[in-house]
Amino acid sequence: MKLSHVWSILQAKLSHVQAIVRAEIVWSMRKRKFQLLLLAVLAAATFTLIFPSLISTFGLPQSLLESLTRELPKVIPASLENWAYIVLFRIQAILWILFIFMAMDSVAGEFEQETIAPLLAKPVSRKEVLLGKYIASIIMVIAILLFVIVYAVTGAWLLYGGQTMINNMFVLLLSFVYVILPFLAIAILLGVISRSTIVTGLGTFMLYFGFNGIQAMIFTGLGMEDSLIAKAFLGWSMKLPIYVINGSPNVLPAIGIIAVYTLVALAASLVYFKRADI
Amino acid sequence: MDDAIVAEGLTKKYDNSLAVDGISFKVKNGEICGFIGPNGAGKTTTIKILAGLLNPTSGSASISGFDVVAERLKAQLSLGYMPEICRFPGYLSAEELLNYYGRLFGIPGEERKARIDDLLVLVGLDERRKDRIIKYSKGMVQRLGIAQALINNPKVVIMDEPTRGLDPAIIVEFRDIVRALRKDGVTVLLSSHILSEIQQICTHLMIINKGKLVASGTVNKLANISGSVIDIELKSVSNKVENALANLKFVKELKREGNFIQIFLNTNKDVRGVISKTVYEKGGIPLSISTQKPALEEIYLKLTREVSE
Repeated sequence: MKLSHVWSILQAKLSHVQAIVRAEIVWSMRKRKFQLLLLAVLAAATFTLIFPSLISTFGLPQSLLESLTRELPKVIPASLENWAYIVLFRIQAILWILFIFMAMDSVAGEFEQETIAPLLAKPVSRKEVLLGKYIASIIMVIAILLFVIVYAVTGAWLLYGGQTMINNMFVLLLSFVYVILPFLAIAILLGVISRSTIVTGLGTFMLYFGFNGIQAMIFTGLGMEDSLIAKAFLGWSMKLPIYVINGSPNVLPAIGIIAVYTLVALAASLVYFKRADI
Repeated sequence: MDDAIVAEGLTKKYDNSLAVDGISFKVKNGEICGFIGPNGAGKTTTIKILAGLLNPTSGSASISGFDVVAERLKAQLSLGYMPEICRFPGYLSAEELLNYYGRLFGIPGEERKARIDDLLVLVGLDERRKDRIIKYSKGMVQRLGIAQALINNPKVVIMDEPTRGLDPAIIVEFRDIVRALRKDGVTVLLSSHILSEIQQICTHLMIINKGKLVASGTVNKLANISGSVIDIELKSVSNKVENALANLKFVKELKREGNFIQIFLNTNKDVRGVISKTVYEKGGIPLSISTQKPALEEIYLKLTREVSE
């Protein structure tokens, strides 16, 4: 096969994926639910950001501030020069809701709204469709996280002076995005299997809380936080941003485990989607 | 290659039910073929297999010579498909949707733009091209469904209930679109419940019932399969005449009402001479003898009823 032929096939595939990514991003951003959730993220970030100023301006009790800085990871000391970290840490739940909402709608939504049939009747492979949707979700996650991190760092810096997070901003963004990758893939897998946004959304959330909360509780309770069994579950690797800030040796194993979960979920989605009747 | 669409022993089984039961057919290039049958007959399942959306349980099908399973993408390159229920991403505009689908067909930018302009004018959505689809009426979405099926200048167009939800004026325009496609040599397979519409635009017909192909061919050929009807007006009708006519070997059924006799034939030959001779021989005087071909509705009902029975 000539190189030019291979190149033209590759170009066609790239152009398909690009078209799907574009349509997916435009479609997602115009959804009212997405816009409302994004507003909620901004409102929560703004509120957390200005909270210390509100307390000092209105002379509110310091205990209120402590409620916001309680149970922070050890690597984030409760101080105003770490406030951008605290903002990000406190709004992570709502950020996850936004990301899972995006991912659950991307494939399951197409099935539910029956828009998948005209799309798959076009000369585009199902692999390209899934890849396009996955890449679109990642781009959206990066854009939103970048915006939120820049917003938190700039706001905290203006209000409370220099922020320690500035040094780690880029790696922190990457590690956050990386932790989200398996969940975007899981949402796609659940979407192609269930064809229901509710099942996909709830399933992905349950897995998120299972890995992030229940796993931590169980293994911490058993004193096996860093055991081999604990590492096999995704929850251990989800602390990647903390490992990064900490400069921990857990960074590489966590990256590997996340990659395995992501690839398995994507491969399973593809196998199922390729055989699926529309 | 003469055949645009070929199906051979196409079967689709869902758990315990057989949606399509080993059907075989060919649609030649340039034919406008109507695909009719009662609800649940297997029309949409067959169409979805041809569009590459369903995998057949057994058998094969091809579009423009490409197998719809093994060479799905090549088959889809020359195919325009309009689903039974047209649903498109509501937050895109008609122009954005056509641009999106045009990209998937690999149509270059300028050509794509010109094609989108033409199609939006053709289906009467030009003025609403920038509006989001979510704001469109059902008929407008259906029209967009027609436009998106034609974005790639397809050689083969498959439309599942294309006029559903369209108002009469648009249906007339739709017929013109299909006729224009025929002039361009495009092969069209369309399913519909509106038999009069099928009769007006289709050159060929396929009737499906309970997953089986009951009949196929030109409308005239199907009328012949179904058999003709002869109406005779006599000056007076005697039992002798009636019995003699009923005993003729090509008479399937005979109805008598006053001086009128209606004979249902099991042949397509012109038997008016034999009938007239028989009437005279038995002392009757025929005032008029006329043949009528059954309407599409009668053919359809007859063929689908026969299978059901």
